[in-house]
Amino acid sequence: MLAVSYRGKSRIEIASKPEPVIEHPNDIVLRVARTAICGSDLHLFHGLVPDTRVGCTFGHEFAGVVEEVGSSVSSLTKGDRVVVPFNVACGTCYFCERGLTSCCDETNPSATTGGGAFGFSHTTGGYEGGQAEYVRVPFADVGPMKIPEDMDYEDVLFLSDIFPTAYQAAEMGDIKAGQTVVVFGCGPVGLLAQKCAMIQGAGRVIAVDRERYRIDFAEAFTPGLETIDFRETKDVVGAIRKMTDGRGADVCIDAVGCEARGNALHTLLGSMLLEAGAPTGIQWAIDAVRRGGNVVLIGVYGPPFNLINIGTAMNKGLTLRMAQCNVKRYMPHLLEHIRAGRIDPKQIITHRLPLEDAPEAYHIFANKKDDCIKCVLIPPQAA
Amino acid sequence: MTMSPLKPTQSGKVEAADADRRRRPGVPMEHAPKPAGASHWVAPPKQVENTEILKEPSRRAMSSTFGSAIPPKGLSGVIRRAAYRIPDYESKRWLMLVFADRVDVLESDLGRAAKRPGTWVIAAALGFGGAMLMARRRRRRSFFGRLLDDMGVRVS
Repeated sequence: MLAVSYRGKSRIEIASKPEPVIEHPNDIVLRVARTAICGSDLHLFHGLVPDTRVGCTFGHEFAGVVEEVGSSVSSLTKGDRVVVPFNVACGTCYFCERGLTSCCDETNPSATTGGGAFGFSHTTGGYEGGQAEYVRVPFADVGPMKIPEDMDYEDVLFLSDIFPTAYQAAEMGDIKAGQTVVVFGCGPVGLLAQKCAMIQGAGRVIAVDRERYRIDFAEAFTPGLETIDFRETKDVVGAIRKMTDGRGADVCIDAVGCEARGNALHTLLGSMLLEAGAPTGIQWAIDAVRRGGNVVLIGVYGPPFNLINIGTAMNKGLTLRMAQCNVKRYMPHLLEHIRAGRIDPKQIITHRLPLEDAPEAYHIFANKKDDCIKCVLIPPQAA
Repeated sequence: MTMSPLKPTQSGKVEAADADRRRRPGVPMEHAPKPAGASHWVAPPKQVENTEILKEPSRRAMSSTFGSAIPPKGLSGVIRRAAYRIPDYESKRWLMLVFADRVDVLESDLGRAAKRPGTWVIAAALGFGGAMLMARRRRRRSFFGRLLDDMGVRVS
């Protein structure tokens, strides 16, 4: 089968690899119909995530058709169309039983820092990703959700990661009616987080980015959004304070992660791996939130550490909340939001390319060329 | 699962449908224990280990499932095995893995280059050229110089 294959920093290729097989009684093999490139795939692509092995396949956002089922799978049959959470979760461990499927204890032998995830290095279990014609999906009775007959793959594709991630980010902010929320980043997750903050009752949402085309897109995607372009506004924190009567925002969400721009020291140290990427988004969030406010991190940072102003967070009495998303528990609720017409996540897709063009798609996305916001890859048999 | 009818996407002001925290599915983040999804086991069955899987040493037991497609190999594999003897709360474990990743890329690139015939032609040409240079500089003492002398090759 054709699959994305990692070759080294900023290098991937399309390789011919063996088709996956059932390795566990609750596995399915999925024929991929749509798969997307996530912003966090770029951290792998840029060699920032430890134990990313040459030859591995990325991709944790995908939907497709069940091709083969393991002997103990009871909820799916061959031919079912499903969308799959990026978490691999057993459903019955201490964490899964409490709703924390991103912390599953039975799916990642390689680290205690989180549960299993598709296509995200051996740090999260070494599972092959969905940027391929076929993918093995463990614990098929736990994660995948059947796609309603009247909906397309692209209607629900982002229920696999970015939509639940964005919603959980707003939720962790504990937004109360009328509050002011700042979202750092107008990438795919940032765009959806801005809208989710509105859905959860925020009075004002302020978006921060440096790419004009993304800011323009954000303003159109979420009516009423206020924006800061930090190519033009050098003092981002000062600007946010001015916009909030000098007090700061009630909630700040870092939707950027370890490849943030805007602070030369962090950019330098991060690129040299003297810290785990640039934590500029976290620093700005801590500085721009009001005393007693909530800071939410959903941007991805690799181990082992980042240099952040934790003393300021303590003195300001902040609540810091962060998590990989527990995708499964959000899927039905967010599906209802899509069906009700409150949000249409597929509107953020700007590029659809054949799977064979994945190397080009990565370069377009990574370099923000051609006004790219979100790339979807289409395997040959699904075109 | 009951579903509402599929409606067209709204335009204009975003409806604050989940302003009430009770409507938010992740509040509270931890709920009372109950199985997730349609899981139907007390303890999940174990995947058979048919390839080398590196395990976090502070884990009590192997996880029920894991990825098996890319086992450790070569020099990078040696470094990875050493790294995985260190618990994941030690920074040096992660730094060793980052280093192993770089070695893996180098090994992969060298391995691919070695499979191309042109690489060997270039390597042979560079080797021969280097030997000629050495011979010219250290004619009397060098092994290659004596060898070339014996072969009747003159290097001027």
